[in-house]
Amino acid sequence: MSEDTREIEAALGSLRPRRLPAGLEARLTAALETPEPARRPRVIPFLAWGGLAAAACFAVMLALPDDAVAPTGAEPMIMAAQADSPPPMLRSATPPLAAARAAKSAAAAAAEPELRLVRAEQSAPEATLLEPVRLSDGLFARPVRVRWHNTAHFRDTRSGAELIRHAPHDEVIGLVPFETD
Amino acid sequence: MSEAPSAPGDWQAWLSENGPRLRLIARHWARSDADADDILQEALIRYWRHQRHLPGEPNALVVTSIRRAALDLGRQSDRRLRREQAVAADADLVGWFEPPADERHAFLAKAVQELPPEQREVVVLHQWGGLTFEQVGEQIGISPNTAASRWRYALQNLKKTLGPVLS
Repeated sequence: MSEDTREIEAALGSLRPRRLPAGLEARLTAALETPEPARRPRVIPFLAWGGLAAAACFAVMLALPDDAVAPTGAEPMIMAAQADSPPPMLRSATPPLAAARAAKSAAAAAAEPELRLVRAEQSAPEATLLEPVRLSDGLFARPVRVRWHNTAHFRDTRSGAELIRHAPHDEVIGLVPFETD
Repeated sequence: MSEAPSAPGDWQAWLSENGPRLRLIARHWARSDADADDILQEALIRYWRHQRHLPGEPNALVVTSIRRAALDLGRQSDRRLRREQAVAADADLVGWFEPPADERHAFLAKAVQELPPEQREVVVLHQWGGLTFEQVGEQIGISPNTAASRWRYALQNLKKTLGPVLS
């Protein structure tokens, strides 16, 4: 490095970068001293991955036929095998199948609610007498239409959810003989 | 570079000491003063919140953070920057420094501006960024020897330009 370049280096060292504008310094200070905002939980990816995982498990369970999961006579064979010397293939294959069967039955049980009838209500019947008609045998009869509403309240004992089954306008049409003298 | 403050309220002093040279580095990679300000803010926040615990020298980490923020901003506003390119090319480098005390300093600032960009980058990072040639090489993807060569060429160019003034 020559003397001249040393002089250039010294001259460069004497150049001072411009000071921060007051506004920028205040802005930076405020930004740096502001606490980091709490991260919001990432709900959508969680739901997406959870849904995918659940769908995959469900598809696997549906794909498992009952007889494949629990072949007929498999359990007595296992019992016999445990009593004696166990066939290694049967031993190694059985636990996953049993686990899959248990998971499948658990999922099925969880999917089916246990409904208990809480109460049932029936409205007062509403009878409407219609115009008399003449039957094929020459007699006269009066059609009667009876209407009522049924409401049944069920409760799922597992989830506590309440189910209301409302059947409006159940009706029966009958004929009341029309006696004539 | 002094350690970044550990308690709120100390940033003002730290920024007074280190802010100007870090802004100069940001300005070198930015197209305008406003962009340099945004880059510096983004880089300092990113460093403070996510990178200050990383191993390595804090100064080099801050310079890396500035470079990445500049690249990010460049990608985001590429179209706008293209429109402003002609204007930015005329940016006055003298404005990067404190008003020169004499004619000699004014010439020097102008001469730095007229350096080839690859030499000017090394000068800014080494002289005002406080990086070694090895760190400069890591920043811009060249070998330390190449960085040192560019530094020497830059000094020779400055000497050529400033010779009459210096003498």
